[in-house]
Amino acid sequence: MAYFRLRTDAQSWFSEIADAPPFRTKFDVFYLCLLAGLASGRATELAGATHPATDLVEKFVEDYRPASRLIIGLLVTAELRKSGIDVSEKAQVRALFKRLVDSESPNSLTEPGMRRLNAYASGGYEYLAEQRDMKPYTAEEFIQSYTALIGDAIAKAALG
Amino acid sequence: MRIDIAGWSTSGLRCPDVAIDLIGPAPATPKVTLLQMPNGTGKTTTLEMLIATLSGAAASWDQKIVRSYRRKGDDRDLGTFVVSLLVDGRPLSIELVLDFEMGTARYRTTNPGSGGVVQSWAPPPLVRRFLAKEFLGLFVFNGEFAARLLDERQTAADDAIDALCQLYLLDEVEDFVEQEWARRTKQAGAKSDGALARLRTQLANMTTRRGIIVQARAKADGQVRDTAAEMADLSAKIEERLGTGRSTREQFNEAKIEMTRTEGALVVAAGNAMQALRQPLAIHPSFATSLIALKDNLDNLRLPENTSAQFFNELLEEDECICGREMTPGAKHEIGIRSLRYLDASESGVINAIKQDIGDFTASSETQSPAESLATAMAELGTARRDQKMARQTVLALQQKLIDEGDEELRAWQLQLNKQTKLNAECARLVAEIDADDEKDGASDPCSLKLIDKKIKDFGSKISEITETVTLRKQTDVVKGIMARTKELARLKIKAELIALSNTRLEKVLANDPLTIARIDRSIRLEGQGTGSTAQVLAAGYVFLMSALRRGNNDFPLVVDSPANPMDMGRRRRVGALIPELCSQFVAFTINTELPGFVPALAAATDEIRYLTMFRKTPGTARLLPALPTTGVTQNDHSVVVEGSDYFMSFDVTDEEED
Repeated sequence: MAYFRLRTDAQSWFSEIADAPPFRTKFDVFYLCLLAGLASGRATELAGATHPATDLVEKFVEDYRPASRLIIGLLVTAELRKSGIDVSEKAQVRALFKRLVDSESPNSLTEPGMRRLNAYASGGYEYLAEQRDMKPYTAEEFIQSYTALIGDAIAKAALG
Repeated sequence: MRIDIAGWSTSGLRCPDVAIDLIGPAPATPKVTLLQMPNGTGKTTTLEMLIATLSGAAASWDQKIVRSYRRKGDDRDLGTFVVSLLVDGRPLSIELVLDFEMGTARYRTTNPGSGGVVQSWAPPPLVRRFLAKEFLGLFVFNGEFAARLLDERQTAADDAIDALCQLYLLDEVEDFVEQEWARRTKQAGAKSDGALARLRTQLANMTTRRGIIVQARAKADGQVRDTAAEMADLSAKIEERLGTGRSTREQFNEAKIEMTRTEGALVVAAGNAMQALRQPLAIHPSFATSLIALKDNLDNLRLPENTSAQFFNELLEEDECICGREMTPGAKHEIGIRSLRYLDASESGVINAIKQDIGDFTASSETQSPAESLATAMAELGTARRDQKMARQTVLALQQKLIDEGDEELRAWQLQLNKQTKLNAECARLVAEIDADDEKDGASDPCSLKLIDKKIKDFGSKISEITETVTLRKQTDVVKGIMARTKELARLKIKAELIALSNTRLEKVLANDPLTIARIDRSIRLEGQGTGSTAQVLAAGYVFLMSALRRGNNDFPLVVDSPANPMDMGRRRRVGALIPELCSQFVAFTINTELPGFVPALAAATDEIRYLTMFRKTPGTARLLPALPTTGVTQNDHSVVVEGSDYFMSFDVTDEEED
């Protein structure tokens, strides 16, 4: 069973803001980390005890169901970039899809696909924590600064 | 098991020498005994001595405590307190002797059914567990205890449940298996004495550390609650003071209203911004660009193909290939291998759905694009943050202005509030640090309980490996895990049952001003309000406690000092009517001002009620002696006890000399 997983240190980092509006579920935190990971191209696998994490949910929560396929699409584009696959190489693109997506799974991802998605969320948390002087204490301030952080991540990834 | 108190006698102590017989001529203890004792007759001392005698706690008293029970001016060297119980109808008596000369306490237990007289505190094992001090506190207490159950600063309700259900026994099981494992590892032949000794020291140190951290957490948690309550009080006082008076105060009040409005607006703006962020295409244009490129590439590659893996799998079943050639084993093998490269129908379905969504979400529309919606929401959020900051600064400035206008008391409150706010934050931070689950391993004195537990487990495992007691270690951990989980589940289940039971009863008791228990989180938390009136709280506390005591298959007496004092007449009547239904024996120390409402309701609810009136013999009460009734009077040089409802109801002494 493939679950969305969030690092415990990421949960601690968001602890001041995650349990109150405008955040509705822990998936909100996961999503913000994930987008930061996809934007920066940073993925840190959650293997072993190096980065303890907890299972969140198996499916995309209600708030994110409309965007779920776009999120999977962004995972595919990030993985294409990371593995250096030439987008004209049909067989390799097809193989990547076979590795990542699974229509039978409740979240449309294979086990390895979910592992990669969780890795981007993990890397995204690291990126956010590095970019800020301290953990967020108010949701309003964090939300306001978030888009700028993503913009910077994309700019740096393009240069890199 | 049913435990009744048959009576007690006292001599040489601070309270007057007296023998109280709770049974009298009846064959068994009556359901209700009302013992009227004017203030100063030793109610508090009697309660303390009841608990000390029954629990065996006086054995650990120091000389100072022992001597504090000596009556001033009394030259007797010994003070005694004897409690007579009926355990399932069989007598058991425990005597506590305080030696004022030596400053020591000793016990004697008389159990005619088994063992006779023992010169120590030695109730039978089955009774002993119900005589733990924590447990006794649930059925022998003063009227304030019921209110403590609802005080957020206290943990009385949780403690009551723990004691009632004896959940501490599960802790004892955990301790026992751990000690047993330690004993067995000591017996095992060590392969490396030095390493083993080091590990044992590390384990002992870490276990000690755990104890320190657990205590620190409890203290910090208590301080968080205390300071939060004090902060709320101070804030209310400051607000009340600031809210009265002249022009600056009027401005201040307006500013407070504005601040509340801007805080509300900020919550709404943050909610809208977060909602807009939930659409990834809103966050950065490059997300949309890369998704469109993905869709275009898939279209160029003709992915997913029209031919699916299933087509080739079906072909393997045929004798001939689609081209007409014979399907040889070699051809079958090759087709099977190559078919794996093709997407199957369902995978194609997912890719098509992704392409469809990319097309739909990135298509231009007449409504705002996700990026525009986010930009609007962010702009509104920025404005709301500025407004809120401004409003807050205005409030603080006006507050400072008011303080500067010379309100010294207000200044002191403000200083105290600042101090408590800081302390509250520090304690909350400490609790968070202790509860954290991401502390890095490495520090010699870790703070996180989870890390400490992990280290304790690791040391234990290593010791197990060296001493070859790995299986026993695993079994020990399993037992400890079961105990911990059992405790957690038991608490949850019991709390839910007690809340339901108590709420049903509260509907009766507080019919005119209903009160509902929402949850039990250390203390009893009420639905929709911080707390009720004193009388409501007391009623809720009684109902909870009596529900808790009645929950098991055991019946315990309830001995209460001043049970109805703060209640109004209506509640006294309702609580009074409920008591006989909720406990097997109710003994109340009352004063005459408590009688109206409460006593008639009790009398109406049960036929088994016994009235006793007791007073100390002093110059002040000498006037009462000639008017004593002709029957039902027991007296000695120190006190008088009168049985009967007529004397009880007409007795009008509220205060004697202080105890």
